[in-house]
Amino acid sequence: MQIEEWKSQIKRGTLEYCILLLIYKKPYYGYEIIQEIANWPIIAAKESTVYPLLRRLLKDGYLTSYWEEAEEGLPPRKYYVITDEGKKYLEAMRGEWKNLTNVITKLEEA
Amino acid sequence: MSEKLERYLEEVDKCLKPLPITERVDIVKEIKSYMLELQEQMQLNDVQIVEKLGTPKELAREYLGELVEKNTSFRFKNLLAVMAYYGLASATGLVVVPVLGSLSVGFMVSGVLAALAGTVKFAASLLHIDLPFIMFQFGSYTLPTAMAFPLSILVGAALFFGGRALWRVMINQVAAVKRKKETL
Repeated sequence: MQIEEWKSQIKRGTLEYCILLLIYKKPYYGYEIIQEIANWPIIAAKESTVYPLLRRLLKDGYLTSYWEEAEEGLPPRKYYVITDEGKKYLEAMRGEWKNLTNVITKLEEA
Repeated sequence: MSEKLERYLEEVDKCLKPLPITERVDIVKEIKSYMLELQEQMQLNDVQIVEKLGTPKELAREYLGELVEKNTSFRFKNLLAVMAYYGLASATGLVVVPVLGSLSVGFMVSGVLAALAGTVKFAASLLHIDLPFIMFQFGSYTLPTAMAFPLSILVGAALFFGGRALWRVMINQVAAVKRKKETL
């Protein structure tokens, strides 16, 4: 179905933005992010998408990370934190997103 | 951690060979941590965990894919990453990418050698040294050195940029496959 293909395009285009929006609020570790976005099917993504994406954002300097030993019985967790570069990037995306939604609103009116 | 899951992690590690060792270790550590979370928080068993993650090859491919697409500049390390990525992808990938990969490298190297040879021959002829083993030949007709020099630079450049273009084509192929896979 064409709509499914379009939805997956949307998801691919916005996942990065959504994940940065989350991490902007507080540090997250991978499993936590995957659980959180699972709440919204339109952006829900698998670990095989999320982890490599996080790694790329890390490489690009938009995130830093640290390992934290968790409580008893639980595994160590790699937390991701947004950097200043990441915040700038997020602001840029926020602007472009606003741009986009304004245009779409306009087109929807006509 | 059970043997099944340990073996899974080893497989992923193997498929990540093109990456530096520190990255591989970190990736595996993170996947292992994720597996343990699934066990603890969602009470999933080994079979369910493996099913969720997909095959080690597919998982490794996603990691390599991010590395490949970012860098269109030519580097030997990237060639290996690209080949590993595509080799994991499909049978056509085993043919298309290695062919494009080796052709592009071959072209670029030939291009450089051609231009070099032409330059050397020309410089030598200026010093009145004859280098009979370097020549620009069409069938049985040999070009005079003065003409051969600019032509060799031209051919060399054509080969080199042709090779670079092939390299870009290959990268785009990889990106296209990745996109295709996401829409499936």
